[in-house]
Amino acid sequence: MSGTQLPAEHHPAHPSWPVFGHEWAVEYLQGALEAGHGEARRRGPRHAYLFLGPAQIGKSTLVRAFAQALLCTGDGTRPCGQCRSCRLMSSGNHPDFRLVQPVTTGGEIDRAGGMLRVEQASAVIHDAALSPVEGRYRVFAIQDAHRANDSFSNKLLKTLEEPPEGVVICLTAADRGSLLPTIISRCEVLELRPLPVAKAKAALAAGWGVTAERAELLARLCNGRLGWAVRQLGDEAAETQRLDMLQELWRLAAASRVERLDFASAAAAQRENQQLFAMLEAWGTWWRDVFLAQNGCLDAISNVDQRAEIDRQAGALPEASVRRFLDTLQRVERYLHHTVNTRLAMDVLLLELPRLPA
Amino acid sequence: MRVSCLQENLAKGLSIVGRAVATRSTLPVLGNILLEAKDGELRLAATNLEIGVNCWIGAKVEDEGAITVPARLLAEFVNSLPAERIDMELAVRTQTLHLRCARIEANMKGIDAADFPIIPTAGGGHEIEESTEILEGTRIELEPAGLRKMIDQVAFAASTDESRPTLTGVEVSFNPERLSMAATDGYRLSVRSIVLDKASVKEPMTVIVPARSLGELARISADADEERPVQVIVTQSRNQALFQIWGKPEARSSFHRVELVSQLIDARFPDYRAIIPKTHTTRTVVDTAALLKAVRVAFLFARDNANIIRLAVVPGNGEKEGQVRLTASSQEMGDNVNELDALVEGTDLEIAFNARYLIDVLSQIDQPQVVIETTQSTRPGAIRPVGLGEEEFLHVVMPMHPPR
Repeated sequence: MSGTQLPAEHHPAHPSWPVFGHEWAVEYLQGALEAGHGEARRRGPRHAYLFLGPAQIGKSTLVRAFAQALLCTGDGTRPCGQCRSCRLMSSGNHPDFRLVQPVTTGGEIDRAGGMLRVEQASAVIHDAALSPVEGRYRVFAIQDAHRANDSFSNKLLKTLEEPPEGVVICLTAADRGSLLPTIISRCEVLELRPLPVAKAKAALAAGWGVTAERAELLARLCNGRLGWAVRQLGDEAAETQRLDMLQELWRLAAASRVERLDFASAAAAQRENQQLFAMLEAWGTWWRDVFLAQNGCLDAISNVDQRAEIDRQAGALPEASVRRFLDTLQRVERYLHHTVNTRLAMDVLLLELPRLPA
Repeated sequence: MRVSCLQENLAKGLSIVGRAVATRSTLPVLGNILLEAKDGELRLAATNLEIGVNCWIGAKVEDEGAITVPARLLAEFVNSLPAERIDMELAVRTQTLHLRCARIEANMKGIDAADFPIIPTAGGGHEIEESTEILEGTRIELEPAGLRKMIDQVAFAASTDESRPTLTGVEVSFNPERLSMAATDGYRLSVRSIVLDKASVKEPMTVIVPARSLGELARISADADEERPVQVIVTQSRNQALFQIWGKPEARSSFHRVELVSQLIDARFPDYRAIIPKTHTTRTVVDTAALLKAVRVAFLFARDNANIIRLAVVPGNGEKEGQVRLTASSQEMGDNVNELDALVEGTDLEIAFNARYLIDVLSQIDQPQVVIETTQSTRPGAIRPVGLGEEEFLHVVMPMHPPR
């Protein structure tokens, strides 16, 4: 997510915020910022915010931008991008900004498998008691609050409810369901929504200088998560990986049961969880495209570079089997996040895969 | 930046600022020490955002400039160098510091000095620029030796438990005529107060300074010039206190001056005056050194048994002198009895204390005799040195309630 930090010269959502999209949230936070300046009857920033939304949608980018604006010491519109505070913020060395990320038991940062632990909560409480070093605020960004263990959350409650003056705590999380209600009720909740395709495309073109064709494809594939698209840009192997994944899928669709089960066992045994989910996501996008094509919505598809193949498969397959597979795929994906036998789940999924005539 | 200085001075300076380096921090620059060559001095600085230390050492500056380099690497490297001149040169483009001493050379990769947090200073006559912040506030001057003694006698009683942050601090109150410090961890209380000779304080003021910061201050001031007062600047609005310590006069100096900036604890200190015993039924006067020695011996047996030592106080009667009997025992180790002569007034009493606490306080008392004032075995005891005024030094310690 941190990869979506923009070069300073592009400020599409708000003249000075280094964020694309989420205009309403930026405007809202900017309002809180300006209220903090002067006028007594309007309130300044709240003590705690909770940013909700799927991974890589831009939560942490927004938190950083908000922190930069809060800590900015420049005159006029904040963040100014010029002052010492803004410079420290972009080099990641601002002493009043503290990022808290899930860690393994050994203390290594691990956002996929780590947790927010109780020692980190103690450190936050301790640091929150200190007054700001350079500015007027101390900003804590607690990333992936859905990966907090209960003792972390409970330890933080008192500070989250009534932090010392000048402390702003920003939490990010995937969804409400995975947080303690006591955490949610102590925060102002901002639910970020996926970026529309047109905006994502414009952002990719303006911020990263992506060609129109590629921007179109990535904007459609990313499902409104700009961070995902940006990561694909940075990863040179990503494009060939995606094509390999699709070709494998086509091969499997035409393959016998034995081959499919072979693949299922290999997938369950070898792959890293994250890779497995990335593959399932790509599959979902593909069959959704086929389903859209079958229903005469070829314009809405994501894999725009594979239009001909989508059209061919749409013609060759019965609509009911594609829909059934999409249902199964969703269910299996959900189960896999909990404790199921990966091998069995993959077997079921592969057997349900629509059969293309060879 | 091009600067040279002596290895001893740099090593000393690094050991002074090194204690403020953040050990585990998410900010890489806080693990570094700032080196700034300017006006014929080399400034070393480190901070963990709670304590910040600036130390100026003598140096020959050819080109001014600044850089931050990893604290541990630099300190360990400098410590292993021979006691000769160290030449340092900064390659600005690569942010690499080149060091040369005798026949040893090294290059250290640093982080831009502009990324280092600003540590406010008291202002030492040099011109002000963007990256310096002069701390404004109430200024007080204190004598180094007296201050150090005060800190030693009080700070040990502060709590180390982070879950009650207020008690990890020392309450420091400035009055027009007195300066007093108090610390407590809930089981013991240490209060020390001295008369301020100069009326430098206009309005009474009370702040809570972290005990760690004061401990650091005491440590640094051990090398200070005893003739020059320690400057204290307190800003309640910024919630900071700054201590400025001057180094020994030129010839033998290892550092010119040190400034320690500490965050203050923003809370209300508990009203400890309420727990100071007002009356006593037994008053025991005993030789400090003898008592300390007896407690240390008893501690050998007590440490396996929750540090419990029992004091049986017996008043004298005409022909026999008063006595204090110290006993300690543990199931595994055995037991120990030690008798001391004492001047006892009042009734006899048996009371149990934590040996560790008694050792802590007795080893900070310079006077030859101490008074222990007690009422019952369940009420706190008061310990004070004989010869100091009533107000000067007082230690209150809670008794233990060992099972019979």
